[in-house]
Amino acid sequence: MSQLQPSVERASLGGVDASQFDQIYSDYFDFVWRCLRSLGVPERGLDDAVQEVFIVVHRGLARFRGDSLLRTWLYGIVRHVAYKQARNAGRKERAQPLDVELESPGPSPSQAAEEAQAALFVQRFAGGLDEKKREVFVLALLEQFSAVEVAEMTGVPLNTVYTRLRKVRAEFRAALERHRGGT
Amino acid sequence: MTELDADETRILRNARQGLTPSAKDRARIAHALLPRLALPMTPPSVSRVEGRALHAARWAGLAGVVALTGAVGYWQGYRAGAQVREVVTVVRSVPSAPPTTALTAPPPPALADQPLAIPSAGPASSLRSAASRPSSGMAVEGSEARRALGLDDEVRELRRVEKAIREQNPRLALVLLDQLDQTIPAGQLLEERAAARVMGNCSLGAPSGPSDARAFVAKHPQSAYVARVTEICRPASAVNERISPAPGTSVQGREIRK
Repeated sequence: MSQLQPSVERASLGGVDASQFDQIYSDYFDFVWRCLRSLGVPERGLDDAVQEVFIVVHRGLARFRGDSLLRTWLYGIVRHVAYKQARNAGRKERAQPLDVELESPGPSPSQAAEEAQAALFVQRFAGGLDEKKREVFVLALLEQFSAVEVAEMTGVPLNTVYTRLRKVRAEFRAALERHRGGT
Repeated sequence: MTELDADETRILRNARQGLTPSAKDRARIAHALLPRLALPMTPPSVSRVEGRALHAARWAGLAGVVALTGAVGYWQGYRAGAQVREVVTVVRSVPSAPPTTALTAPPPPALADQPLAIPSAGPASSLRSAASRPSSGMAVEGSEARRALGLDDEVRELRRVEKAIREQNPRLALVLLDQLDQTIPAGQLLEERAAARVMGNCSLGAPSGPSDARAFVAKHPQSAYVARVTEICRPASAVNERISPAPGTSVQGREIRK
């Protein structure tokens, strides 16, 4: 189960009133930001991408009828924006070798530096995955959604999610071992 | 689900934290979104110093761009609007005309509460900048300048349109909309433009106002502007029906765009 359990999610059944936008923004901002970064939006386009997501949310909120969970609807927007931006930026930034910027941290790395290194590693790893696996990696491993939730959010059959997750996990482990061996 | 060892879990946890936006990120995006959404959204908490710096930078930039892009157009529109106000006054003074609530009633709170006032910071310097760049403004010409105009400019101009409507200056609003259509013909806020145009036409007493309003509602039944368009155009239609037999005193002569 994900740690993301915004209060507004509970009110999503039956539709969300436009006045709830502020709450949605507050609850989901971090999720949107992280997903966009992990799904390959380059830093220089991140601000625009985040804004675009919330503009679409704002304009579409009145039409959201609660047929799906709010996070599913929201993730659909995030995915659309992310892939559009990533395609525009090309794959250059996402396809760089993993270890290029994964130098070992200093002898006494701060927590912030460790987090930054980990974030970079994860971004590089995610960037090397195809879109389907990347999505499962981001939602299941990084955002810690359950396989059932991932299936619901992506519209992919549950068994397919499990299959992709097994592969992604193995690839992540292998990438980490390569990194350890190279440092 | 999480058949990961402790080290892998730690890296993912750290990565998640490392990918999480900072307070500055949140504030920056919130302040950029505010004008684009025109919502009274409360920016996330930041330190007072950070907040002031962000506000100052935002307003300074906004003031400059507003002056650069709209000084000439605004003045022309204002003059046109002033003339229209005089005509509207004549129309409203016709004895048989009922109270023109459409022209005087404030808009519903949903949009009336929007922070639309153009910031007063640095108006003199902004105007000087505008004067030194005669080719800039909403009437800017040239493909290069057109390419430079984006969603921010569109939102900015729509806020001015909204301000004009709220101040019962629909003529100015329509002039600004015409200019916006010329400078950013393929904008992203066409629904908002359509709503503003309908409201402007209705406030002016245009005969096509009610039908335009019905067409807008039919096309955008879920729009946030439906209530306001309906509110403004409903009494306006009643006024129109009464004053239309007196073409000499009505506010005609303007090509109503749909």
